[in-house]
Amino acid sequence: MSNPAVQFPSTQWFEHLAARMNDQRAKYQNFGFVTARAVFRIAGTPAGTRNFGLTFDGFECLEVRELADGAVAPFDPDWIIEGDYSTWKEMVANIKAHGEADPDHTLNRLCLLGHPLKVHGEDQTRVDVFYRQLFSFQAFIDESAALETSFA
Amino acid sequence: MASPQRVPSPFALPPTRRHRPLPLPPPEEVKEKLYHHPEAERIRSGQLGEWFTTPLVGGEWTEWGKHARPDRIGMTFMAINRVSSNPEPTNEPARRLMHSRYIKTHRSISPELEEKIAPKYGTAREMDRRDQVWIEHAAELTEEALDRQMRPARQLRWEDMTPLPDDLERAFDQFATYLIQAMYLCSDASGPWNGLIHYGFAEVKSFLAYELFDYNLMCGLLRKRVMANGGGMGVQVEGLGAGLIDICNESSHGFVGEVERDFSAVIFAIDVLFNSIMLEMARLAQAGARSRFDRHLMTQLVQDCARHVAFGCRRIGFYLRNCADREEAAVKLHLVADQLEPLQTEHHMLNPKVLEPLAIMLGGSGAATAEGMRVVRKFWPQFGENYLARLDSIGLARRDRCLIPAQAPF
Repeated sequence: MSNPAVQFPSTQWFEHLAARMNDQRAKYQNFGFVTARAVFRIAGTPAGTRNFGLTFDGFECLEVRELADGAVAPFDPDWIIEGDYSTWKEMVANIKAHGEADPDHTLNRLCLLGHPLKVHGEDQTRVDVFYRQLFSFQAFIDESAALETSFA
Repeated sequence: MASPQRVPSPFALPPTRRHRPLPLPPPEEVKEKLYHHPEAERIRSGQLGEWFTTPLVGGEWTEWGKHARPDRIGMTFMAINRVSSNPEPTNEPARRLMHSRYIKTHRSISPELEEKIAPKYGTAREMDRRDQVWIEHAAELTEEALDRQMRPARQLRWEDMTPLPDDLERAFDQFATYLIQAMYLCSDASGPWNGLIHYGFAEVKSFLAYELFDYNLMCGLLRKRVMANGGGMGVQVEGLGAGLIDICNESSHGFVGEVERDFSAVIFAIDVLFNSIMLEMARLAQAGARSRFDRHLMTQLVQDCARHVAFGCRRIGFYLRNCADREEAAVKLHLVADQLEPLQTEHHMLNPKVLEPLAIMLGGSGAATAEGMRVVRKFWPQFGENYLARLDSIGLARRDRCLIPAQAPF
């Protein structure tokens, strides 16, 4: 029986990924611990630009919350990954189709040239946390393969 | 053929061995002396030494009653530092060779005697100041280095390796050959420094050891990968160490003599600049890797290089904030960068034996090299921009004098 569809983007969608991460400690221990405050920004959704702040610590995602534009800086993210809704949709659909991102849809590939996705932040040494812990973040987003995702 | 004329060495090296060995005493005399040695007599008497009889509090024993508990990650440096009386090294002159911040010096050993027991130069007492060695959040980064090391037996499935078309295999093999050279270079240049760092800076010593392990583990894995998928090792890349080797030699003074050696210049050259370049190369290669197995290797390399860069930035940042003369320190580091940036651009970043394989991987075939090179060209500004953004962050702004071209010169 398949799970009920979860809409992307939504707090609930990211919470499902967090729950899957937190339930698979051994898998994430294999990658190494994560210490990061990350913002996923999806621009151009039917509801406008949406930001989701996630806090990773140890082998878990401890917090997911939607942030208004003005709340992103106070959230104090290490890095922000942002792109158009269409790019995110394509990535999520690709992960679902292949069980994980194919070579053209990994986070690193999509961010490589600063578009269609871009990783950035106030302090490059904190942005580098994204690269230092890349296995974990890719595995986290690949968890969406197990979700039934619906799009607005 | 005439033999080459010998040129006198410019270095006056101290003798490493006596010209004539001292005569040894007869074996019976040595045995007799050892039999009557006070320690041998004490062991025969069944008495335990002072280490066991000294009071646990107030005597020679250092600490007692500690119960470090694992934190969210496990039994980490952070966990033991939480219960330690000395969670961070200080600038208190650390004397004895084996003496770390955790262990008391015996009361009967005077500072003069300590000096004789462990001479400063050429030993692990040589770099014993925080500004020379320490970094912020050393424990966390060191644990990350240990935790994120690849475990080949668990994480790599060699049976999943995918055969590639010859042009892509050849490109990957050449790129791997470059990486192996680059990482052996880093390993050889930074390795000798660890023995000069005081044991009080245990976390930094561990990090540097893990960094050496990263380089050597990855070199071995890449060579295995190259030899296991139908290809083979590629051609040598000349000039990869351009500027780097000179800076390391100048900074170490050949590890000879009682002189102040410039560890910061070496860290800047290897961890901040060279690893920044390798990080960007690894990102490109990860994006161009066509098989899951190769992508896995390149993702690991991205993580490793980014961590080495993080160490370098923290080290240089700490140095600039805590050294005696910040202005002079910044001038010296700028000179290192002035020397390295153009040479590394020419011999590393523009090296066809590095860029062309990348372009083939990114293009997806030998026929699509031009498309791959277009990706490299669009990516190029990030080499300089990310490096400069890191320097901004650590307080060594050089946007007005950086010699890495902002746009691709091709």
